[in-house]
Order: sequence, then structure tokens, then C-alpha cells
Amino acid sequence: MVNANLNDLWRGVLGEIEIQISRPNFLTWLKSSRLINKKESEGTVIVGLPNNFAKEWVKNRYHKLILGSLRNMDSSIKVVEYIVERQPQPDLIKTKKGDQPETFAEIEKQKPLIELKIDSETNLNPRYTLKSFIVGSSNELAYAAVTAVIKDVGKKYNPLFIYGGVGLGKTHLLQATGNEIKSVYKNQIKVLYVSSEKFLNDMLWGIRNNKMDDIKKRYRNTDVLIIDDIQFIGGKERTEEEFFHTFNVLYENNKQIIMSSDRAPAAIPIIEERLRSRFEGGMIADISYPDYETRLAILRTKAQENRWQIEDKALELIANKVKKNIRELEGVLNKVVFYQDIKKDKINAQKLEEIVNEVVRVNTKNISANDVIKTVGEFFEISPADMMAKCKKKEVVEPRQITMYLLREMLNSSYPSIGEKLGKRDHTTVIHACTKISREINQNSVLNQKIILIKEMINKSA
Amino acid sequence: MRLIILNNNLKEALRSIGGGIGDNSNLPILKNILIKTEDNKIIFSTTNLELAISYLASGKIIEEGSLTVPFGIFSSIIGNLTTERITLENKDYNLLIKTDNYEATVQGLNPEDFPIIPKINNVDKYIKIGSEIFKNALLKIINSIQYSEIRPEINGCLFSYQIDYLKLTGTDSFRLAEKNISADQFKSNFEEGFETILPLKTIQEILRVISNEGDLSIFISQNQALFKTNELEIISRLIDGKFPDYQSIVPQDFKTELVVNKTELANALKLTSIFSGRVNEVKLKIGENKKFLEIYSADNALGENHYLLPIKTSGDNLIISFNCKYLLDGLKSLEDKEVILGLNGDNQPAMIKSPADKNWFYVLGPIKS
Repeated sequence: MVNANLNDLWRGVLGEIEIQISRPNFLTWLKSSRLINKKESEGTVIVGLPNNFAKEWVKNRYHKLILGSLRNMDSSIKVVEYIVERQPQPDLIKTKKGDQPETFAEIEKQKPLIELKIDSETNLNPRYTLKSFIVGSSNELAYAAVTAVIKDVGKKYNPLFIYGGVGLGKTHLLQATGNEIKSVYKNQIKVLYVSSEKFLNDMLWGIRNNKMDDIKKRYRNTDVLIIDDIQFIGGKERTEEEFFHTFNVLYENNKQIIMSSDRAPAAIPIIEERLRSRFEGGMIADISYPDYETRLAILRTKAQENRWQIEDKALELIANKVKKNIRELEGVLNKVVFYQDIKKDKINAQKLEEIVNEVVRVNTKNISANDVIKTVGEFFEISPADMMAKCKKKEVVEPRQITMYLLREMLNSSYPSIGEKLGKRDHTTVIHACTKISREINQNSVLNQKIILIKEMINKSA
Repeated sequence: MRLIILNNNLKEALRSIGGGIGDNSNLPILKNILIKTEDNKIIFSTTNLELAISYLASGKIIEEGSLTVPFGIFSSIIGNLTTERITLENKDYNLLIKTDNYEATVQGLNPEDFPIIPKINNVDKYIKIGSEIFKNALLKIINSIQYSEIRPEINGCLFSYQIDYLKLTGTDSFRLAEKNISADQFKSNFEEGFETILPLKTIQEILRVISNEGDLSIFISQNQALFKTNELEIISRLIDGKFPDYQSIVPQDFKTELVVNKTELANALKLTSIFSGRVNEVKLKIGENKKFLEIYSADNALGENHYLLPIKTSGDNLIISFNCKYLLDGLKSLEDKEVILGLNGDNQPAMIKSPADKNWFYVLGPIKS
């Protein structure tokens, strides 16, 4: 706790000096100063300053002030020494906007001689930038939230919780936020990005090697903590507990916490209530499926970045076919470009369909109709018998329709056979249910969440 | 303060220190120039808190003192004055400029508020080198440095002193240039080798203001460097960070090596790159007929072109793509009539070498095929 004392002491000194000198002077010379060390025995304190200019100036002009107010607070101090602390400096040359010789995207294809490494301190990959994040109606809330956070770190939306399905750009947005904070605040703010798996592994390592303190320090000593895929810590009690404490420490000190998950906090299973309520205490923003225009914009940018010659028509086709996953969108685009390169020919609709099916192939495990019916029943806590029965209560109708939809979507069963399995219903009833659910899925996010969860449960149980 | 200075001397002083003007909205005084007298010299200084430039001009000092005025106004006035002798004197914090038929008062600030320019602490250790040699070496690598927000450690040039040579290296991670200066071209009393990184802006100022005549003394301390000639002092911070370890990407031998006329190659590249679009991609091909290098580029929407260039070559056939701009940058740093191009297949870094200067090379990565 020695460090905290030094910080408090120095904050006191700065507070006193701030009213005695002009604001520009204070901002220029003392704002990034720090009390580094105190040698109790000699009564010496060491003040770190960002550059030689500040050192000369402070030493010559403010020494008396500093020594005076230090002694007011701690009479054992007799000597003040000044050193230049090595730290990243602000930019020297400003690149003009619109005059950037090469954007990152353009040089993507060029092989770097020295790879851009993932920053070991922050774990951030510089490849992700806010500039390359395409904003559409599906993600504008999340985007607005992170821009607000960047402007006002730790104060405005804390914690920020972003959720959305697989491959919709959560990681991109999170990493870009970290990178942006790093560059806006010129490394003055410590950013740490981890996946929840990394967090978990660190915990395990700490427990096994009796180094929990190191781990705690690492996580609690940061100004912005970004955790990706937080849902994975659900059910891991010790990790959850540790995260809970880390969360509290950071939160109380006004440090920014940003999390992402594939579902809303309320929908994360087996997570402790106290943690859930904390997640819900800040800002929750969702990223949903991109609309057609956004998908097309993503494809266009991607094609442009890589200078791929591809017809607008083909892009439109892809945007039309792949609806639920940006990663798949890019996968299809890659394949189409590859196909065109090899065949030296423009792609046609039929071939495109094949490629889409290849990439978007669903993970077909051996799932039986019974699995689906059983899982839906479990989820809604109704018995399969109820589902088969002629009952038309609302509590039963919705699960029944969802079952029909899932049987159609996951197993590709025929409408008559679905009707047969669910209490000998007519195939038109089934068709109605399927169209209704697939329509509502796009409008009703609660329903969408439910279905995602059920699908996951089915996949797990099979 | 009161002094008389010759028009030309004053203009030269202002030209030299202009690059040090700061752009810090917190501290408006950084837009000012400090004029002070010391030991019969008139010193003009500017600083942006990253580097400071001071120019020692001679003139007749009638009364010692110091003052600070905005650089912009002051240099506009001086730039338009034609009379040979100019008198500068202070009236409180203001500056009075007088010639035979002109008089101006420029509002100034308290010179006490001007930042104190730091001194370097170990002045007895230094490297002394001909200004022209040092500047030419910097010119050979500066093309490879490009400002990057992501990686501050390559926003400058590696200055590596190793007793029997001085090595300068610049890179933007896509290409890299290295220049060695052998010990017979400089004097030094540093007993140990060291490495540090000079900021790009400092290099640009050295190239801009230091004249080719005379010697340059370089003083280095833990976090700052001083470049000193008879009239000029540039003191700069050093970049804190570790320059990337690049030795492993420098190719040692080549599967294909070719010698080509530099001007012809540059012309061919400029011409063929017309069809190369935004990434400036041009392809180089050495086929069965080894007497020629084929350079071509194509764009589906625009068209294509080919250029055949006579070369001397040995080794494997290949087709390799480059960013044309990077290739041209490499050629620009070269004064020779011919260049050597060393290649190792279409996926490995290539090297440009000079037949005459063994102390320089330029490595660049190909565009992935």
C-alpha cells in the first residue's frame, strides 16, 4: 500500500500547487508527474517527470512550492529529487486527415517484414480499429456506447456489456475500443484485454502455483479491463468469485469494465445472481444480425480492401444468401473470389448457392426429433405429452410452434412428418408455425435468445 | 536588451530555428522565439518540448538581455525587410524593430516564462563527424521511415554506435534500410557501444537546417541527444522503446541476383505502375530469356502494360510482385548508375544493393501472391 500513499501524498501536493500557478503551466509541466519513491531514512522523495523540459522547469521554478507543500503534509521529507521517467511521448508529427499515405487495409496484402505483434501488455491486436468497424442499424447502439466510453472512460457507461450472436463483430468492437483508448490517451490509461478463457487459465495458474496475488495485482492494476466471451465463466465457481471481487475493486475505483457475451446477462445460465445484477447495472447494448445494407457494405469494404474484382451483383447475391454471421459472409466472399481466380470466370447464381451451402453447413450431429421435442419441453417446463395434445393454451402453443420451427430448420423434416410427430397435426398448421417463428425471430429479440439457447441445449444433449 | 544585427544573419537564424516552433495549445509561449544575449553571442531559440533548436548569431550587442515574441509575426517582418542593418531592442516585454526608415513594436511575453532548454549532462563524451557524411547517411535511410501511431519505436531511426562503426537503420515494417558509417569517417571517445532511437522529426530538422560544411558533434545521454555545429544546437528527446530485432529478416544470399541500370529501372517502374491501382502492385518476371527483366502491371478495369529491360542475371527464374512505391524509394536512396537486386523466390524479402557502397542496403517485402 506504499504506492497508494505516495499517490495520495502527490495528489495533495498537486492540489495545492494547482491553485498557485496558471492552468496552462500546470497542465504542461505537472499533469503527468508522479511521486516515484520515498526513502524514509534520508527523507528523500523522487519525483518523475515526463521529459527533460519539464524536469528543468519544475526544478528551477516550482521546487520551493513542491518542497513546501510536501513538508506541510509530511515533515520528514527534506530533499526532493527530479528524474525523467521513461514513458511514451505524445506524437511528434501529425498526419493530416485524408492524407494518409496508406491505410491499413491497403497494405494488408503487402507482407510486413516485421510482423505487427499483439501488444504483450494489453493483449490487443492492432489490426482491429474502429475505423474498419462498419456501423449499421444492428450495431449502432453498441457502437455509440463504446464511443461514449472512449470519451469518458470509467464514468459514463460502467460496466459496458455488449452481447450478440457468433461472428457479428463483438471481438472486433471490443479490441478496437481498447486500441482507440490506447491511442486517444497516449498510453496514459492502462488497457487490458483478455478472453474469459485466458482469465480462467490465469486463475488456475495462480491457484496451482500459489501466485494468486500476482494475478490479482495484474487484473486490478488496470484502468480498462476488457473481457471477451464472459459467458464462459458461468459455473466456474472460483473464477466467478475472483471475477466478482476484481469487478468490485475496479468498479469502486471508477475503472472501466467492458464485457461481451453471446447472450444478455439475464440469459447466461448458472451465473451467480450477484454477478448478474452487476452486469446489468451499467449499459447493456446488443449487436443483432446485420441488415441487408450493412452486409452489403461489409462485403464492399472487404472487396475494396483486398482489391478484389467482383461484380456488385455477386456481392448482392452473397449479402442476400448469408444473413446471420459476418464471419461466414467473409468466408463466402473469400471462396467466391478464389473460384473466380481459378476459373477466370464470373460466378453464377447456382455456383454461389453451392458455395454458400458449403460454408454455412450446419453442424449436423445425430439429432433426433425426440431430442428436439424433449429439450423444448424441458426449456419451457412442459411435458412432451402436452405438446402432442390438442391443447391451445398460450403456454403450450408457443413451445409447440418453436418445436415445429426447429424440426424444420435443424432436421429438415417435411411438414407432414412434423405434423405427424406432434399429435397428428395438419401440415398447413406446421407451415404456419414455421413462417410465423421465422418472421418473429427477426423482430423479437427475446424469442431469438430463447431459440439460440434451445439450439445450444439440443446440440449439447445430442 | 539592445543589439544590431545584419539582415542576412537574422534571416538565416530564423530559417534555422523555425522548425522548432511548438503547437501546444496549453502553452502559447511555445509559438514564440526566445532571443537572448550570452558571451557576446546572440542566441535565437525555439522549442516544442520534444526538441529545441538554438542558433548562435553574431552581431553588435549594445545592452545584454532577453525577450520573447511570436515567431510568425517576427519572421514575416524580417522576411520583408531589405535594409542591411536591423536594430532589436526591448521595451518592457515588447520588441522594438528599427531600421533607417522602419519601426515596429511586437508584443512579447515575459522571457522568464519561456521553457528552460535542458542541458546534456555528459558533454565530455561525443561523436564528431563531417556534417555532410552524417546527412548523406540519414538521407539513405529516411525514405523507409514512416510515421505510425501504433508503433512509436519505429517512428525514428536506430542509432547504433559500435565503436568501430556507426549504424543507422530505418523501417516502417514493410521495408528497411541500413547504412553503416565506418570508424575512419568519424571520431569518438565513447568507450562502449550503445543503441538509441532518434525521432523522425529530429532527423528531418537535422537534414533541413544543418549545412553540409563543417563538422557535427553528437552528444548522447540517457534520454536526450544534442547535435551541435558552430552555429546550431538541436537538442532532442530520444524514443523510448526497443527497435525491432531485424537481423533475421535481412537475407544473406540470393537465389536470383540481377544487375540493372538504375535510371532505366526507375523509369520502367514509373511507366508500368500506371496500371497498378491503389496498392501500387507491379510484377517483375525473369523468364527463359535471361537477358531481360519483364516488368508489368494490369488492372481489370483499366488495361495492362509490359516493359522489357535489359539486365545481367544469374540464378532462378521467378515472378515477384512489389509495391512500386517501395521499390522506387529504395532506388531513390542510391547514387550509383547500376543497382543490384537480390531475390529469393516470390515470398521472401528482396534486397536492393549498391555495387559501390557495401555499407548500405534496402530490404523490402514482396506483395503476397
